[in-house]
Amino acid sequence: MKKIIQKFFLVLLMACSVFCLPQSVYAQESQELSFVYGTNHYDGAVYSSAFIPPVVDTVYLLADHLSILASRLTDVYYWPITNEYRADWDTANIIVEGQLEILRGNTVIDTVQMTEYVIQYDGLNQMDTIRLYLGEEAVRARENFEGLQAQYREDLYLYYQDMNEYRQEFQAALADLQAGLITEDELPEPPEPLQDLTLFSTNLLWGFPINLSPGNYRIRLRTNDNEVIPESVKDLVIFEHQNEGIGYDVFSEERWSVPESAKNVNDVIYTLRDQIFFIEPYHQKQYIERYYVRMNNPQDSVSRVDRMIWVSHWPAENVSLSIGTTSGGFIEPLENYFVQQLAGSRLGYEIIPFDPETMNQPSFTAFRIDLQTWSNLKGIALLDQDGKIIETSQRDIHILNTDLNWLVYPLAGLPILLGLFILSRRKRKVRDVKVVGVG
Amino acid sequence: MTGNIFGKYLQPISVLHKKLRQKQLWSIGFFAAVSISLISASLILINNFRYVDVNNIMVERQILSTPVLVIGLLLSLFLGITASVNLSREYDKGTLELLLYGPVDEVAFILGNFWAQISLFGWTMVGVFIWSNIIIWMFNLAFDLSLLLILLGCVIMAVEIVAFGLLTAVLGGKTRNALVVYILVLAIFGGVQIGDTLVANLVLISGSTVTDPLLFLRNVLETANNVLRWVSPYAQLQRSVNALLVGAWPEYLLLLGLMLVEGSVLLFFSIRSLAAKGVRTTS
Repeated sequence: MKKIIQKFFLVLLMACSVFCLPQSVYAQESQELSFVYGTNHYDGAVYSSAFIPPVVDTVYLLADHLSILASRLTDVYYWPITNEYRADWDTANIIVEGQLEILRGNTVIDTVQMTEYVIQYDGLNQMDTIRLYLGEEAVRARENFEGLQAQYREDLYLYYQDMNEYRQEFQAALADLQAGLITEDELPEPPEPLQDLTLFSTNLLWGFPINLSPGNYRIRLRTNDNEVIPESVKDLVIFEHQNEGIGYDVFSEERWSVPESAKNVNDVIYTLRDQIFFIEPYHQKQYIERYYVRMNNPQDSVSRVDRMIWVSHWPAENVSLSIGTTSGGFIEPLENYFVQQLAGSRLGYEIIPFDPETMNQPSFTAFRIDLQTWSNLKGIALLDQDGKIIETSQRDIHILNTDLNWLVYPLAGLPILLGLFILSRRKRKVRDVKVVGVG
Repeated sequence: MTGNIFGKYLQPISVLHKKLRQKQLWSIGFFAAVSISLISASLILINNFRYVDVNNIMVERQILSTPVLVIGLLLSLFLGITASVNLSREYDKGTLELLLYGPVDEVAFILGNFWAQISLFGWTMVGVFIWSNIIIWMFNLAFDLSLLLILLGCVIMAVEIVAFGLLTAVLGGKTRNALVVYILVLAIFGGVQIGDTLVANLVLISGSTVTDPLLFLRNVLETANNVLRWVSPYAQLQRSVNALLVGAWPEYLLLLGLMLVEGSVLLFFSIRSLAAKGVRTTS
């Protein structure tokens, strides 16, 4: 009996130890499929995407630009690490068909049909070439892309064939050269390298195109059975930028990776004597922080409606810098620069002009300001191709005299000295009055 | 008739204001407050200059805006306390009763006290303007007319704070009560605003959706600040300066107008409360 009890406790202990072991695998339990929206939205420069889970009740999109809302059924799970809901698209990614109704108040002002769409851009110049195609145009754009892909594969195959032939011919020619039968000029030329296919394309997707003027709307999805999906009802905020202009990133030669931003036209750039610094210009737009941040990240919880943010969208090109000094104006061209790391274990780099013959791509494109050359610098402005000053591009530059820092404290002490002086005079007066009175 | 009203009020207001202003100028407290506020402003300035020494580059819209705001805030707090203490002491000593039997009535008494502090603050702001220009010249800073408008904003904030100091004195009666109410209310205003700013910026450091132990606190402070920013003089001044620096003139003028209206309302209630309550404190 005693042994049986001992065995029982031993088994119990083992069972407990198994259940009490820390669980090292953590996976979210699968849930029922949920209705969600996905966006392919214009963010001011390019197209981005966002996932809108059921807990988010407001969708934010930019005004007067085409964006896409896609309705889907998917497996939504909560991910505690980042405190957000995520979609398991591999488990389910089911298109929910129907019509998207856009309401203002309780009135339906527009009904949007679901359509095919494709987003394409050239990888070498995404900002200027990005385009969203709808309907038949999207189908054609996708077919064109697939055609280009097929052509590229075929060209690539031919190129490798040519390359193989070239190698064989080159080996044979090399033997002839060593035998003195041919000269170096008669060696075969390699085939022309194939240009990469730089066009990128999404698959043919389905969604509701939205292009509205600024305002507050509501959206809901009406299925083909004429029923509104309750989870599809969301507020829709269409917003526009508040301001736009030229912004600058400014950094000294010694700290090139930590730029300061001069986004407002009233910003003053302060620096020190004999510095070399760089100025990178870009086009920027100002938005209400909450609207812009939640368009890109609908589950954000910290952006505020009472704050504004400047977003730099694309670098300014084909511009020059007008530099104002006390002795006149100068014009500085926009140049490409390369940051070259110094050899050895000691950290170091140098910034040198970009040479396309020996370097892959520039590290940055900027104006170089050398205060040894322009010690009497007053300010800068950006000039367009016609030499006209671009609005909102002016900034003042001041070279600080920080040698006099210590002087501010004696200056701050002057009022108390004045107070002591007045107090002593007053005491003397009162004492004199007493003396005269007594006398 | 109009001349009679002016005569009735101007003379006692003028006499009271001169007497109180002279009293302030004969005490070291006021000069110490000015020096302390200038030293605080200097620390902020030097901090900025040190940053330039390390980073080589600094971008600022108006490098003097924060130092001047600090000076305006500290001095207006000091003068608000002084106004409150002066009035409460008249209560405590019973001299208020004596005064109001003479040519001074409630309107003249409150406005005289108010004007004494505001005129002193105004002259101090002239001194701060001179100080700012010396700093601009010494360090080669950018001069901007916005500096004058920031100083004007400080004066209008002082109107609200001094008026509030007078109201707490009238309502509190005894000096101790008045000071407790004055400091408590302004500490709540300032605390919520500073807390909201600190917490909001702390959360941003760790990412927008990452689990955040301060999220609830942040939401509470944001809600409180959304209400207080329409009544707190600090918040209104700071918002008006921000609006000024980005060229949002309507918002700047709206906030200045709002501060003036709130200051006037506080003054009106001070006068009405003094008239309704009488000149004797209940012990």
